[in-house]
Amino acid sequence: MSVSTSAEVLNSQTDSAHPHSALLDSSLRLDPMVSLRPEPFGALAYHFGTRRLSFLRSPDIVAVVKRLDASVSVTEALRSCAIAQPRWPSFLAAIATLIESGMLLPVSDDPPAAAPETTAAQKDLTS
Amino acid sequence: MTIDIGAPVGHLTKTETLVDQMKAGLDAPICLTWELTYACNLACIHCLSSSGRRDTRELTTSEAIAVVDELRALQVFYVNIGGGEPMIRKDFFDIVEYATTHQVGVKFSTNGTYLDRAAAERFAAMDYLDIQISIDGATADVNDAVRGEGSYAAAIEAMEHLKAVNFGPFKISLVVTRHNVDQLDDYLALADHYGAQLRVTRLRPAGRGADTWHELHPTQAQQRQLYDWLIDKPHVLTGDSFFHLSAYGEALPGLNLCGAGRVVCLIDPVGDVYACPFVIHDEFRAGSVRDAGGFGQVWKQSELFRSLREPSSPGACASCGSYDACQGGCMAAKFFVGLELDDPDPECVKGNAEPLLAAIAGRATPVPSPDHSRPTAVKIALGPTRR
Repeated sequence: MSVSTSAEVLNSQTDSAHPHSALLDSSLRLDPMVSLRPEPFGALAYHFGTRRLSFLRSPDIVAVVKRLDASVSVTEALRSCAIAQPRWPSFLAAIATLIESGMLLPVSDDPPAAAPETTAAQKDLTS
Repeated sequence: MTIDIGAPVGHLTKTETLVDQMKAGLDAPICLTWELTYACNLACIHCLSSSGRRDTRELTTSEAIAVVDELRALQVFYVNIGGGEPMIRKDFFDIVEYATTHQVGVKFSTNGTYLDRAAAERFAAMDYLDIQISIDGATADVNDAVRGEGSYAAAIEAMEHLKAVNFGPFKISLVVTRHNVDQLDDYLALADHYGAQLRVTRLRPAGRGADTWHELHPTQAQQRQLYDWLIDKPHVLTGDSFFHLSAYGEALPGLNLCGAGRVVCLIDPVGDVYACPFVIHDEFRAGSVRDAGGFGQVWKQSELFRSLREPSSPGACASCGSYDACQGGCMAAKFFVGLELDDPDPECVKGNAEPLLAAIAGRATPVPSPDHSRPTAVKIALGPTRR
């Protein structure tokens, strides 16, 4: 992923050293094996393949994640959800976490990356 | 229950943490245990559900399927099926296959007796299915003293079948007692041999365990030994069951709170809904999936569950500096030994429960209900303590 014009816009206006700004141009989608369950605080995301559960801890991040499928880039999703630019870094950090945990997948011509190994603790959803 | 909270996504106001939100309850459970039957071929002396005889009011196949449909609608992604011995039900495969093909993943616990080669092959062909084999001793003598003669051999045979059909990483689950706590490394070796994951959970004084808890639960010294072992092996699963040990210092992985009625609950074989798998007692019965409104109504509206989601008082633990770490411990453990719910956990690592337990010694404690033990079940003598 290259650092893009839009990333530079972000850099100049908000957080010049933000580690996730390279994500802005990425095209992402929710893994088809992930379900979102609405909750008062936002949503739960459950990956049926890895048995991993994550918390989307604000309604805005839920809206952005849902919007990614229909957007060509993260920037477009953030804009179409009317997320103010000063808040973008925290959204990008959240998106980076969701990529790392295999909830979000890059849309590209490259072969998809192997699903990340889940650790034992993450798989233990049980009482 | 352990969930991925290492990297919370999104943001909260500074005064509101994820744990606070969990305490206030979710729209549906994250972790739901469903005991499919009270029937069991074994008579483990610590059985949480006092299982043995089948209850004639057991949910029918179509009622069970309707429960799955409702769980799917509520987006309960995953159920823990147990019993009794769930594989005893003739429609066991029908229910499990229906769930796993309708977006409700299953993990089921079994003693392994009925897990033959054909069953193993059938399981290996299914998606979204996890299997947990219960063994309460790394050797036959220690296990069979608790679970009954021949139960160790049956569990090993089941694991051999799973290995032979390449099921993948199933789980080996043990309840820690004072007799097997010294075998934890042997358990790890056993799990490694089968490519299995080890899951270690806490003995609760519930069901028949209420009668045997005083003889079986780990000593204070053993609790410390267990805590150090778990801290050293974060890959061992615990189902978040040892959060009372977090009062030793560093928190164990997990939410470290009592999830009863908040993120956890139990559906029993007749459809009754209890706050957690460890409190099968009328006092913690919230309703039934057979009630008008079904499970969802019970989860959202029952008076019991709503009260469990209210902020709880630290009670007798208010002056202890460790309350934030241990949250006062396990509600079920307190209840069945006769303590008040805002007393310290009976296994409080600071020893704060000991004077209270001494004061109530000899007094009647709550009788677990319902009891499906077979009247003919012979109490098994405990083996010598391994020290």
